[in-house]
Amino acid sequence: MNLYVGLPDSEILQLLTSISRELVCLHESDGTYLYVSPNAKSIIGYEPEELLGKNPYDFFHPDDRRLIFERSHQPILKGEEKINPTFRFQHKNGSYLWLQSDNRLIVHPTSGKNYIHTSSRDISEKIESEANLALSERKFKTLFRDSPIGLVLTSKQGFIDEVNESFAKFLGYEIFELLGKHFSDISSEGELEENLRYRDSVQKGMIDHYAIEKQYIHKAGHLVWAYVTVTVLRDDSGHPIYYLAQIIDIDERKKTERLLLENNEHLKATKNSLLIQNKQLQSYNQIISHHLRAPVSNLRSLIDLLKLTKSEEERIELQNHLEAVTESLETTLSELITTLKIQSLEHYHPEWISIRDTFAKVEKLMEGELLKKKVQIELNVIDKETVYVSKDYLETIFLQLLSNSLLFSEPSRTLRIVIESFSIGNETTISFSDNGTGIDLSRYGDQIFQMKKTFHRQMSGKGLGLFLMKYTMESLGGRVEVKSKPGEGATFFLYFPNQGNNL
Amino acid sequence: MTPRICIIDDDKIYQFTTKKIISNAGITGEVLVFSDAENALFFFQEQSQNVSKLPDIIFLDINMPFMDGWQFLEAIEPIHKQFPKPIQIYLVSSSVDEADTERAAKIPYVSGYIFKPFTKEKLLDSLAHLQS
Repeated sequence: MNLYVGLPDSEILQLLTSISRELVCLHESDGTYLYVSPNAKSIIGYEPEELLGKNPYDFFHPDDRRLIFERSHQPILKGEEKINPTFRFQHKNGSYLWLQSDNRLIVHPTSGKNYIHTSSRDISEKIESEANLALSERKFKTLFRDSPIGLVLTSKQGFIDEVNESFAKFLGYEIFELLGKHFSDISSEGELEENLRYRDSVQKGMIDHYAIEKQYIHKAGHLVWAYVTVTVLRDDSGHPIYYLAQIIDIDERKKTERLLLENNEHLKATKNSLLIQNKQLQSYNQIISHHLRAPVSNLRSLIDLLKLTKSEEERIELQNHLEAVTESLETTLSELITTLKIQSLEHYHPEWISIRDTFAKVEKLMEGELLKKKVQIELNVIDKETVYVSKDYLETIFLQLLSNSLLFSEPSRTLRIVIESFSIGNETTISFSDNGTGIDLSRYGDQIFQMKKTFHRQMSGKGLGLFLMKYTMESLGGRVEVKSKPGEGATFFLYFPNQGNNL
Repeated sequence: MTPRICIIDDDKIYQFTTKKIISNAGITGEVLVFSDAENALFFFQEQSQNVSKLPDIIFLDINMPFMDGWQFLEAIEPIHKQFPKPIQIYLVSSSVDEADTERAAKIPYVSGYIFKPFTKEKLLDSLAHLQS
C-alpha cells in the first residue's frame, strides 16, 4: 500500500495535512480527538497536542451541539455518507468560526472499531457575506414593500417587474394587476415624451437619475399627478438592468396650484374689468357734468330770466331757447341711455363673425357715398378670419370708422382706406387706416374718445361715435387704440378678445 | 363802473343768458364773447399791450371742443404777466368734479372757480373782488 518508500505513513500524513487548508482530524466514535493535523494552529488556534484526548463537543457553539449530534454524529455512526454539517466552533481566542466538514466513518480493518474522520474548513467569511447579502435583500424587500412612497421596479425595456402597495393603491390597482404592464400603459400622454427622452439619456449613460412631474392614469380612468424620481441600477459594465421609480402623490398640490392659477386669472380679469369700469365711471362723471349739468344750468338761467322779463319779445326769445335746450337735453339723455345699454351687455350675443363679410355688408350700405367720393378700399383680411363679437356691434363699429374717414378725408387727395386683420395669442386685431386729415394726438390724444369732443372747427361732428366705439370695445373686453399724424391720416386698432368678455 | 367783461364759452345759450345777466345787473360796457378759445387767445396775443381793448375780467369755460379752458390757460401764461393791467380770470364750469376745482386752485393767475349756472350774484361777487 505504501508507495512512498522510506517514509512512514504518519509522516506522509503529516506532510499532506500541513499544506492543506483543511483541518483533518480522527475521532473516537464518541468524538474524542485521536489525531489533529498540524495546521490546526492556523485554523482554530490550538496546537494539535492541546486537543488530543479532548472532545470537540466542548468547543462547539452550545446552540449547535444538539444539531451536530443528531444530524451528523449519529448518522455517520449508522453508516450514512456525504454528511457535511456547518457549525460554529470556538477558536482558542474565544470567538466562533463557521466550519464546514466532510465527515465519514472509518472501520478498522482488523479490530472492526469505529472511528470518525473529519475534514473541516473555515467558511466564516462566506457565511458572513451571505448573511449580509440576505440581510440587505431582506431590508430592501421590507423597505420596498412597506414604503409610504410608491416604488416601481421596471426592466430596461420599461415593463413593470415589481411594485409596492403604495403605488398600486395610488393608482387603484392590486399589485398583481400592474406586474408585466408597460409603464407607458399607465402614463398619461402629456408628459410621456419628456419621460421617454429622459429614459433615453439614462440608457445612453448620460445621466443616472431624473425627476419629473407627470400624470398617471388611475384605474378609474382619471389622471393623477405624481412627482417621480427614477434611478437606474446598472450592471458591472455600466448597462442599465433596472429602473427604480419613486413616486410621490402630488395630485392635491397640483389641483390646489391649478385652482390658485385659475383664481389668479379670475382676479386679474376682475381687476381689469374694475379698472375699465372705474374709467367709465370717471367718464360718466364728465358726461354728467358737461352734458347734463350744463344744459340744466342753462335751463335754470333761462327760467330766472323769464321771471324777470317784462318784454313780450324777450319772453318769446327765452321760450325758444328753453325749447332748444330741452331738446338737446333729451338727445343727450337718449345717447347716454344707449351707452348704458351697451355697457350692460344685456342684449349682447357674441358669435364668431367673419370680418370680411361684415365689412362687405357695411360697404354696401354706404355704397352711394363711397362711389361719389371715389374712395379706394383695400381689404387685406383672410377669408376665414373671424372675431368673437355680436354682429350688430361689428357693423356699427365699421359704419362709424367709415363715416369718420369720409368726414375727415383730405379734399386734395383720393381717400384710401386699408383694413387689415391679424391674430396674436388670444386676441384678434383689426386695423383701419385712412389717408385723411388725421388728428394731432400730442394735443388731443387723451380726448379723442371722450364724449362730444370734436377736433376740427369746420366739422360739425357730434363727437359721439368714437366715444361709443370705445365703450363698445371695452364693454366686450377689448380695447381701441389710435395712431395718427396731422395731414397724414389715422389708423384705428381694434383689439378683440377671442373668448367672450372678461366683464 | 363799466368793467370790460370777456366770456369764453362755446355754448350759445350760456353766452345769451350771461349777456342778459350782465345787462340786467346794469353793466353797460361792451362784452367780449368768444365761442372758440383759440380765437380768444389770438385776440389776447394781438392786443396784449392795448389797455383799451383788454378786458378786466375773463369768464372762461373749461369744457370746450378744439381748445379747452385748461389749454387756454396754459397758452396765455407767458403773456399774462406782461398785460399792462391786471386781468382776473375765473373758470366757469358745470363740473362739480373736485379734480377740476383742485386743479384750478393750483394755478396762481386763476382768481376763482364758478359753478354754472352763472347768476347775477356770482357776477357781482367776482366784480366786487375786481374793485378791491
